[in-house]
Amino acid sequence: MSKLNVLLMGLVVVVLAGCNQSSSVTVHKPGVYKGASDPLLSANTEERATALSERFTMGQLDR
Amino acid sequence: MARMKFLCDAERCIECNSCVVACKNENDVPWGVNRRRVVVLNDGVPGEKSISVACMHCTDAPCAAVCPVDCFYTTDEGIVLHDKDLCIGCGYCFYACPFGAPQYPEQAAFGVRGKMDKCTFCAGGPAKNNSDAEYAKYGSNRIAQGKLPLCAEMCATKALVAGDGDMVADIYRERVLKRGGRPQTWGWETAYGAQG
Amino acid sequence: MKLIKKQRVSQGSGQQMHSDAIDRRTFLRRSGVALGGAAVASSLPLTMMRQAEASPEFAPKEGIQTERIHSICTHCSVGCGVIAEVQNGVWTGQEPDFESPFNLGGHCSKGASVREHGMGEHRLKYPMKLTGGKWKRISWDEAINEIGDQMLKVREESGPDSVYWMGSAKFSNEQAYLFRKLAAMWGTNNVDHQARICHSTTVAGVANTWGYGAMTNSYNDMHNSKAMIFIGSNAAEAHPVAMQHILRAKENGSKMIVCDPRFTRTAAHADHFVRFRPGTDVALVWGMLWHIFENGWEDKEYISQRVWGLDRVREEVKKWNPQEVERVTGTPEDVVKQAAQILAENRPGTIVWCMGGTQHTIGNNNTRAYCVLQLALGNIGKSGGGANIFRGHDNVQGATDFCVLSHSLPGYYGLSNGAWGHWSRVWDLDPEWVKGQFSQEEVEGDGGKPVHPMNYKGIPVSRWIDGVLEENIGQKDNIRVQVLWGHAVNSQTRGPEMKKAMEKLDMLVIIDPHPTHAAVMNDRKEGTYLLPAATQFETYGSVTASNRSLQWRDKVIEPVWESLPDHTIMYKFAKKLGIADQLCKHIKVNNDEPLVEDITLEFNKGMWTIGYTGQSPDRIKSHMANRKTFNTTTLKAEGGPNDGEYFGMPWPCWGTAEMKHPGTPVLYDPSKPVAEGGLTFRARFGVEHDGENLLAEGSYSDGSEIRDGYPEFKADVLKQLGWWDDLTDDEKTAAEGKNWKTDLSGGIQRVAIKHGCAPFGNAKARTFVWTFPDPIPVHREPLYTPRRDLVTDYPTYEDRKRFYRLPTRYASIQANDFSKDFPIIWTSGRLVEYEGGGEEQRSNPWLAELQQDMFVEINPADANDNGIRDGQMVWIDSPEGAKLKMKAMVTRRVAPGVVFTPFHFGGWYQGEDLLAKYPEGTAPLVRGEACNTGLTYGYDSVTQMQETKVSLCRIRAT
Repeated sequence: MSKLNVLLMGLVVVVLAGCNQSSSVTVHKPGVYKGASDPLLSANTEERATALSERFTMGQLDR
Repeated sequence: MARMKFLCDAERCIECNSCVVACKNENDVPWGVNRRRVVVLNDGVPGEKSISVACMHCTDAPCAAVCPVDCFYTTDEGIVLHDKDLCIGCGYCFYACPFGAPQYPEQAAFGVRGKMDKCTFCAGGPAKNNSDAEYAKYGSNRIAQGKLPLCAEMCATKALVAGDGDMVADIYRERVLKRGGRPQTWGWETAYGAQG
Repeated sequence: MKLIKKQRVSQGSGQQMHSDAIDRRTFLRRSGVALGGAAVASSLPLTMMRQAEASPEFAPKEGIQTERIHSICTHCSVGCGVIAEVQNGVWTGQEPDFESPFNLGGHCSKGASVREHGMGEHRLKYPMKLTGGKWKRISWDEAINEIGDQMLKVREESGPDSVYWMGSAKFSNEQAYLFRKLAAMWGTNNVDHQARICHSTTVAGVANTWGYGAMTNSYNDMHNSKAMIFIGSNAAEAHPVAMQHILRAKENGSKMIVCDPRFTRTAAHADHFVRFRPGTDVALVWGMLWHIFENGWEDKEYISQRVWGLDRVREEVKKWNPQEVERVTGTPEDVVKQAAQILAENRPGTIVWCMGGTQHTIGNNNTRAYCVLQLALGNIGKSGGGANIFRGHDNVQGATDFCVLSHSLPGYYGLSNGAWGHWSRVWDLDPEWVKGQFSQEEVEGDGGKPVHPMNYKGIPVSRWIDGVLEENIGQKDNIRVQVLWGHAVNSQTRGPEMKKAMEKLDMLVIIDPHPTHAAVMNDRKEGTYLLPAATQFETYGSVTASNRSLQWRDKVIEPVWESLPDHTIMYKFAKKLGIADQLCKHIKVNNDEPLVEDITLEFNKGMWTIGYTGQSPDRIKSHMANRKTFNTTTLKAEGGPNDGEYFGMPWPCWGTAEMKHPGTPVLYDPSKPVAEGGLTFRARFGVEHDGENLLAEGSYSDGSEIRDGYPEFKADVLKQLGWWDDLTDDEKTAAEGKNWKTDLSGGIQRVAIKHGCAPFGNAKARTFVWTFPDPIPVHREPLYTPRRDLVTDYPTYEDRKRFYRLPTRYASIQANDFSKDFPIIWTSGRLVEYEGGGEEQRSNPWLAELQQDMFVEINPADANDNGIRDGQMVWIDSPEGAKLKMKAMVTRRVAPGVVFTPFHFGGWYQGEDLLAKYPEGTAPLVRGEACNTGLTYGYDSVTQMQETKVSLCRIRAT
C-alpha cells in the first residue's frame, strides 16, 4: 500500500468522521435573572387575566 | 394563571404581512429589524403554506439558558422578556433560538451588535408600564393595558392567534374539527414542549 | 448562564423547519432583510437611515389624553374599520376595530400601516410648480390663479373639452359627486377615473345582463356559499381581509376553485386549481358550461322563470367541446369538467372575478360569460350565490356610482337631454345655463351622426394620451390641459406615448398627496403644477364598500403640511373659474370648504336609479356608532337602534331617508319583500325583444301584489294599477309625468314598494345583449397573441373610426405577427403590500421594506432558455418599443411561456431611476420600473378598458 493510499484512507476516515452527528441536543438551565424588576410582574395579575380573556373573546373569535 | 401562547394557523395564513406591519406600527420597530416575519414553504407550487414567526415565548426558553449575562426573565403569563440595559449583544441567543427571533439593530466592526431586540408579546420590558422610557426601549405594553399583541389582533384572517394557551387551543381544535384533517400546531412542540 | 447539563432530549422538528423556511422568493423579496436585519441597516441609503430612527414625535406619550377616532381604511374596497388613537392632534396609535362586521378587527399589511399617513414624511408638502426644469414652492393662491388663468385661456381658444378632469376612486362619495358636478359646470364630459381601467367591463357587462353593474352579494354572505369559483381574482393579495370570510366559508365545507394563469397565493388555498392561458376566459367558461349542458346540470326552472336568451348561448357553447377548449385555453378536459361538476354539485355557489377577467379587448364578453354561468346554475339572487365582483380601490364603487365617468351623469343616468334635465332640477339650475357651459359646435359622433358635445361620451382614462396626440378626434381641439387628481399614470399602458403626450400638453396639473410617477416620467421644463391633497384620514365623509354599503369616516387629524381636502380644492377652482355659485348653490361653504353633509343630502335628492337616496348622513353615522349590533354573516342589525337594517344600507336603499328602507344585502333575491331588502331582476331593456317576452314568468319577490313580471314604474303605471291615490298630494304634484328614476319626491318608489313591487320592474336577466358588438359572448384572440393559428378562427374586431371620440384599432394591430420576436405572454397583477400606482405605499417605510424591488416572475424553463439566473437584472422588451429593467424571479408560479409583473412600481423609466426629478424629500422610498410603460395597445369594445392582462414580450439578461 502506497503512502498515498494510506494518506487517502486517513483522509476518508477523517472526512467520514464529520458525518457522525448526535441526534440529541443538550438543554441547559438558565441562570438567575439579574436585570431590573418589571412592574408588570407585580401588577394585579388576576384582574389582568380577566381583561385579557375578555379581549381574546372579543378579538380572536370569528364572531 | 393564563399561559400566553402564539399559534399560526397555516390553513388560514395568506402571507399578507399584516402581522409584520402591525408590529412595526405598534412598537416603532426600525427598518431592517423584524420582530416578526412570514415565511413561505413550497412557494408558488401546490402545497404552498405560509406561517408567521416571531419569538414564541418558549417554556424553558433556550435563549435564557445561553445568555452569559442572565438578562432574560419569564413573566407569570409565560412571556419571555429581557433587560436591554444588561444585554451585551453577544448573539448567543440568536444561535440558541429555534425560531430565529432575536434581532440586532446595529452592525459595526468586530461584532459589536447593539442590544438584542425581539418580540415582547407586546408586554414591554423591565421599566414603568407604558412609560415613554419603556416605549423607546421595548415598544408598546399592551398586556399591561389588558390587550393582546397587535399582530394577532390585526391578523387579516385570524390565522395568527395570541392569548391564553387553552383558549388558543380551543379555537384551533374547533377549526380543525370543522375542516377535518390533522392539526398542525407548527412550532408548539418546540416552544412549549410535548404537552403543547 | 450556568452550563449545567439538565437533560438530553431528542431534536425538535422545528429546527429543520426553520432551516428550510427562508425560501427563495422570500429571500428575493426581502432582499436580505430576512436574514437578521442587521446587515441591511448599515447598507441603507441615507434617507432610509433617517427613517430607521424612531420618531418620538409620533410615539404615544404617557399621561396625555387619548382620543379614539373611527375611520375606514383607504386602500381596498373591503371597507375595513380603522380605529385611530390621537393625542394632541397627533396620530400616535392604531387599534383593531373588532366591532366592524366587515373586518372584525383584521387588517392586511396596508390597513395595518395607515397611521403612517399622519407622519407624511415623503408626502408632497406645498404647492409647487416647475419652472426652468426646477421645482419651485408657491402659495395656494398663486397656484389656483395661475392654473385657472391658463384653463380659461385654453377654454377661450379651444373650448372646454380641451381641459381634461381626471378624478379618483380615492375621493369620498361627496367629493366624487362634487367633482362630476364640477366637470359639468365647466362644460365637459372629459372626466373619468380609475373605474374605467378596473371594472368598467364588469359594470357594462353585468348591468346589461340583469340591471345593476355591482357586486350582488357581500364578502360576509360568502359564509353561506357551498362553492366559490375565482377567475382572475387574487383575493389573498388584492382583498386580503375578504379571505377571512372566504376561509370561514371553506371551514363551513365550501369548495373553492381558482382559475388563473398563475398559481397565486389565493390558489394556494384552493381545493381545485385551473390554470389557463391568459385571455381565454370565454373559452374556459363555455368549456365548463359545455359540461353543465351536456349533463343537464343547469337549473331549468330558474332559467324558464328568470333568464332570457339562453338558447342562443347554447348554440355558441356547443362549439366549445373539450378538445377545442384545450386547444384554445390549454386546460385539459378533466380539469375543466371537475370544476363544472364541483359547481353543479355544490349550490348555491358564488363567482368572484377581478381585473384578470376585466382587462381585455373582450372584457365585456368575459364578464357576461361569468354571469351566464351563474344564471345557468340558478345562483344569482340567492344568499351564498351571486356574482361577487370584488372592486379595487376603497371608494371605486362610490366613484363609479357618482359617475366620475365620461359617459354618464351621477347614478348612471347617462348623457341624454333627459339626464341633464333631471340633474339640473336636482341642482336647481336652469338647464339652458348648464348647456351654455359646453361647446356649442356639434361634432361627428361614434355612429357617424352629428352630436352635441354635452350628449357625447368624453375621452376615457385609458385613452387620454390619444386625446392629446391623435389628429382626427370627435371634439373641437385636442386635450391641452390635463388635471390628474388622485390618479396614478403608471396604471396605464403605452409609456413612451404617454411621455410624448405629457410633453405636448400646455399644462399638467397633479393634485395628490404625493408627486406621483406623472411628475417625473416626462421631460417637461415648464407648466407642471403639484398641489398637495389631503388623504381621507384628514377629512371626513361617506365611502361605499364593494358590497354597496355606505360607511362614514370621521376626521382623524388635520391635513398635514399645506395639504387641503379635495372638496376644498374643488371649491377654490370653481371660485376662480366663476362657477362656484352654481356648484354650491345649496351647499354651505365655510372657509372655502363645502359642508360635507350638505353634499350628501344633495345627492340623496337625485340618486333614485340605484337607491342612494335613503342613506342620509344621520342614518350612516348611526350605523357606524352601532356597528357591533350587526350580524357578521347576514349584516342585519339584531336589536339596537338600527334593528332590522343592513349594515351601511347597501344600495339600493329605496325612497327617502324617512321611509327607512333597510338597504339591499343581496341583489335580485326574491325570497324577501322589497321593503325588507328583497328584489327582482330589473326591467331595463323593455318588455319584449323580437316578439319574445323579457319580463319574469312566475317569479316575483315575496309579498308582491303583482304575481308575475312587470315593467318599471311610472306615473301612468300607478294610475293603471289604481295605486295613484296612495300618493300624498305633494307627491302627486312631483310625480306627475315622471317615473321611479325622476320623481324627486320618491312617492312612486314608496307606493310601488308598499305593494311589494320593485320600482324598477320585474324582468328576466338577458344573456343576449343585442346592443353590444358581440351579443352572445364569444372568444376573440388578444391583439398581441402568440397563437397565430387561432387568429383566423377567433379574430379580433375591425378597426373603428370613432369610439369615445377616438379612432380605435383592433384588426390592424392583430394583423402583425409579433410572436416570433416577442414569444412570451406577459401578464400583470397585484402585490399585497402595494395598491394601484403604489406611490403611497412605496413611500411608507413599513410597507416599502417588504417589497424593495420591481421584479418579473419567470418559469425556470424560460429562464434557462434565455440564460437568466434568479435575482439578476433583466430587460423586458415590449413589442411597441419600450424596454424595462427589473429583477428576475424564477418561479413555477407562472407556466412556461408566461411572465408576470406587478403593476405598482414607478419612479423608473426604461431602465433609469428618476430619483433626481422628484421635488426634494418627496421621492418614494422604493422606486422601480412601471410595467405599464411596456404594456401595449388594446381596448375593450364597449368601455375602452385597456388590455393589460395579456400582451407579449421578450426577456433577456442585462
